[in-house]
Amino acid sequence: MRKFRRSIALVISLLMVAAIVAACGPANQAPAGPGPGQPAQTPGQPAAPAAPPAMVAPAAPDPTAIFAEHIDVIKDNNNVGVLNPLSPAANNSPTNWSFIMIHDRLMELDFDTLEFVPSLATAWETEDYQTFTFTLRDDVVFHNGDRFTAQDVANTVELARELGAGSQGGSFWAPVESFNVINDTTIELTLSGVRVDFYFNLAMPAAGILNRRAIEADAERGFWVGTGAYSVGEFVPNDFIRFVRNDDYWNTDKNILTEQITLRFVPEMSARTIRMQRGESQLSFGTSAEDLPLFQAEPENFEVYPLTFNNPQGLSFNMNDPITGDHNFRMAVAHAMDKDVIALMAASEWAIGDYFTGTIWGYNTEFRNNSIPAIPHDLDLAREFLAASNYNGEEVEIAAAIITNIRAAQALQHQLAAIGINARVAEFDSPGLNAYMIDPNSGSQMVFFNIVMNMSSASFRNIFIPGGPQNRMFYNNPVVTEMLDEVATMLDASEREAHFMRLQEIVAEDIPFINVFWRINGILAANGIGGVGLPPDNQQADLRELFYIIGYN
Amino acid sequence: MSDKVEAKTQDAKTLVKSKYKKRSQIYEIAHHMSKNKGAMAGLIILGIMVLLFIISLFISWEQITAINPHARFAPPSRQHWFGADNFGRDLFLRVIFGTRYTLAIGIGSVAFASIFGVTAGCFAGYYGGKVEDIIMRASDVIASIPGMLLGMVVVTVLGQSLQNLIIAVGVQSIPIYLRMTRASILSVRNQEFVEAAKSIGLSNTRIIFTQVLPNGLAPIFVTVTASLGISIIVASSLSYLGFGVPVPHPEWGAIISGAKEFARLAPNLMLFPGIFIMVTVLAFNLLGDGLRDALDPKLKK
Amino acid sequence: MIRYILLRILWLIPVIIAVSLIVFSLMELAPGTVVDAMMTEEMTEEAREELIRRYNLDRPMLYRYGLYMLNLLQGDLGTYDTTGADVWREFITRLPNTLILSFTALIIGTVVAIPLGIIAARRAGTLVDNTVTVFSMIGMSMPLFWLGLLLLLAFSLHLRWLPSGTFDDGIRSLILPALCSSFTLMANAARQTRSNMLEVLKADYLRTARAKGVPEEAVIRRHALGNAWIPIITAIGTSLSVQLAGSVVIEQVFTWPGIGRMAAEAVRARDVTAATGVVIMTSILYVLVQLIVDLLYALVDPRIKAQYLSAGKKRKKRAA
Repeated sequence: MRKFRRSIALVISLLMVAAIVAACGPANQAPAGPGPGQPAQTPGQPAAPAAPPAMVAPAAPDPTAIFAEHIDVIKDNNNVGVLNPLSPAANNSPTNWSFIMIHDRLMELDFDTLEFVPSLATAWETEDYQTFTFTLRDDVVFHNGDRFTAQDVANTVELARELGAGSQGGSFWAPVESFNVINDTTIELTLSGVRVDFYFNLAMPAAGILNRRAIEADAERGFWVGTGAYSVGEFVPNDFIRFVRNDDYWNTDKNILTEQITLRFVPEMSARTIRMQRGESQLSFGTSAEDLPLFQAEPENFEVYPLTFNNPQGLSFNMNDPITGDHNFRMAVAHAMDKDVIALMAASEWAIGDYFTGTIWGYNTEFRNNSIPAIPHDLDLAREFLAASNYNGEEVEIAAAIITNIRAAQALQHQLAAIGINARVAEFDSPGLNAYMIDPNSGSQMVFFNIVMNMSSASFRNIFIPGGPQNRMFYNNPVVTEMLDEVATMLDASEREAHFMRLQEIVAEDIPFINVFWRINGILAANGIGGVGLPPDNQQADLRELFYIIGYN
Repeated sequence: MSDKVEAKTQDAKTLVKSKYKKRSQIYEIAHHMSKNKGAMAGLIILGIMVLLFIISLFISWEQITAINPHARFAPPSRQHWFGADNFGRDLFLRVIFGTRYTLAIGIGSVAFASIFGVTAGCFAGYYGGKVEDIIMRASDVIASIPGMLLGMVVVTVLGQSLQNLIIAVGVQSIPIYLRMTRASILSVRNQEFVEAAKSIGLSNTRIIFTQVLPNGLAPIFVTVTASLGISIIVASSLSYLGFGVPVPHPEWGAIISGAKEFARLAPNLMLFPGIFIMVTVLAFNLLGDGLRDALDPKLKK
Repeated sequence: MIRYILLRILWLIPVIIAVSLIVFSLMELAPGTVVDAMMTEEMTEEAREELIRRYNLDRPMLYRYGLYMLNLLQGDLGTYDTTGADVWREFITRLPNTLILSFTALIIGTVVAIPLGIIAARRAGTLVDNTVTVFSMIGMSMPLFWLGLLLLLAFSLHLRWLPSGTFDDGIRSLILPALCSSFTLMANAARQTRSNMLEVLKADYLRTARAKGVPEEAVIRRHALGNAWIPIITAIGTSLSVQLAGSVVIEQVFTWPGIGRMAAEAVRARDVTAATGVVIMTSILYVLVQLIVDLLYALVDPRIKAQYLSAGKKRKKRAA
């Protein structure tokens, strides 16, 4: 009898556990087929990459629609710790999105045309790309009631110089050597040298105009004072920011429809999915590639917008290492990898192997050379190159930090084994990997990471000059260095273009980096969400005109 | 377990009487344990674990890391018993292979902690006075740092690897062993056989390790068994937070950590390793309970 | 008694010094510095060097530790290396979130566990008893992050009863995380209560009480429970400290803005000041919880109270 009771007890207890477990089963089965589904768009054709997606539909809000007063937006684990463009910690995409909300820049970049459009400055001119004159608006007021004048631009330049070491804001204003406030609406900026890309600096989110009086009164919250469409209602670092609409916003061309927008950082993937599914949030920038098809299966409730990242995701080689510094070895690796499989492993169908071109260039960065052929997947050639190289079966390392790259590194490791390269994956966290790659004595060999390129071709310089902040492969080709020095002072755009085309060919031949795949970010929106500006470089999502129509179908 | 005690006592051949007494005690404990259904269940589960470990020796590294794009997210089936993960790797093989890591972490962290904890505890308990004060205060300091945080910091410093995870988990439990050993040594320190050993001129260290320690071993064993389960949970939690064994090593916590991204699409990927963790910890807890009951005269029926 | 409490609080000073030294030096040894964590594509070599100077990274570690301790002596935990935010302010705004979670879990745990334990003990050997025992064994063996994921998937995603944490839906968002973190405690306390009640129920004085004709309910409440308290308090106390320390897992799973996540983020960002600060504060909390547990013993058990008092007297005598 006792025995019997015990077994019943065990059964009951196990049933309790099983009940929870059972409730976790997939309620709606994933769509059948080889994979969890296809993204709505692929990033484009070999010859010409597709135009960057501009806006999340519905484009023109219906005048009779009822708009939600509050929208909750999810961002993944990229926390915002500080809302200060002059802090080196303000270095990630959601921080930049926040700056767009609260600060205004002198000018903005239109991502469709890659042209600059007026913002706080209504007109600008320069003859030598060294002295710039800006005409400013006279009807703009800061969140604290101060009127915006040319002096505020001068103040921002000074603040950036005083406080901005190592920060984005600091580096954008750093070329300015002197300023001349001509009157309240005119300012002249003189640079220390010719900078053809200076406008790109001014259009970056962290180049917003700051209010010196507010910053002197409060060294933390003073930086939240801007002229932007939203002010900061509440900010809990690394948790959420609640933006409140600025009802006196000067730019009446913009449809600022939502009273409150909360940008929330949710570290767990599952929690992000659950929040969207339950309607706790209406827009998510961090839904896992594997969960997206499940939302796509509910078109009556959700819409997924694909956004191709501008940054090449791939494999970098340490050019100083005896093994990876060998051109034949790099060619062997390049031929051995099956980029499509790596992409699939890294981000399910939300990444696409780059067999389009062989260039290492931002997806939408200006002057892209689309005529360089990609290195094909060919195991025989790979073996030939490997045999010609000085590789003798040593263990080589593939380092990686973030989840998609770690997965990609694992897939690559497996593929390299097929031609006899004995590779090992070393897992890091991001600061650890940064330190590892910067240190020339760390013994890094191959690293799976992404090159950061913005819209401006000038970012190429940071990557390929010796000692450049992004030159993690210790690439040093004197020809390239010289050409990059030349191009920095070329005033003629077509001349610059020809130069950069040639540069891309030279670098592609050297293969310090192989672009393995383009990552497609699936932006998940509840039906009725619209008005999000989606830039191609992910740093500048514009949520100012975000709206949500209640009851939209 | 009892074999170990026996071996230790056989080393101390000088004390025939004590050996005799010990043996009867072991017999009694074993007898008591065999009546305890929970403890027996724990032992059986651990037996199965050991069996799985032996099976895992026949699984090659290639088998658990080979990538198969066609089997991605395959649901549990006859071919893939637990399903396949995002690389198309068979989860069953990976989970079985994972017993290696779990056993290594469990045994390794306990060994690490007990080498330091038991030694220091012995000295503290045997010498008393200043030595005891210093050792105990140092242990209090380590104990007052929340274990999870200490583990995270240790892994960050040393880097992600199996040994470092073992150290991170082991460090946390040093104070527990230390206290337990000290208490247990205190209870035997003043007994006659220790004085006898002193009188024949044995060195202090020798007395500690040949006379005192073997006689205070029983409660330490209980602590070890009980904390094995906790160690496994702590290790898997660290792995889950990304402070554990690096990919593609199939440590159970790390499998769950990787699978949480697919929790909705393929919940089986996190369910099975979780169940394995639970059952293993359960086994250690049951065994620990049984041992305690067997050694605690108050609870004997 | 007061002397004892004072001594225990004074003990915090060496703890703080030792903990800060351990954590600070460990964090310093970690590969990568706060500057590496802040690298961007725009950061030039000069800017990097200036930052290294700003954070005194070009000086020996002892110098930085000295600076840190100098601040700490003035009661200043310093500011985040990364963001410049005040560590103390950040800690104190997040602490209530962790405490709310811990105490709710504590209350849920004890309110469920103690009656369960008592019932199980009184009906020892029955189906109820066995179920409680087995369930508590299973509860103690579950990794919390796994349980948390299961609860989220079950109650939040599929059944859609409860929000997924994140602290923005008032009391409802508290339920799942609190339930999850109360689980181990519940299992532990139920088991402790059961085994102690079993022991006490056999004691002679209970037989005497029953023989005197005291009603069974009163026997349990007044006599039995009164004596079974101590191990139960131990179990709860340990669980509370474990929760404070282990809160990082729960907070991660349920997106709870507490001190555990604060610590994890600081460690990931190589923010030495913030990480050391959080660990120091958590250690102090930890020690205080232990003190409270010890005092509670004295409160419920006159024998232990007498021990403290007599110890005090002895010391006084020795001093005289």
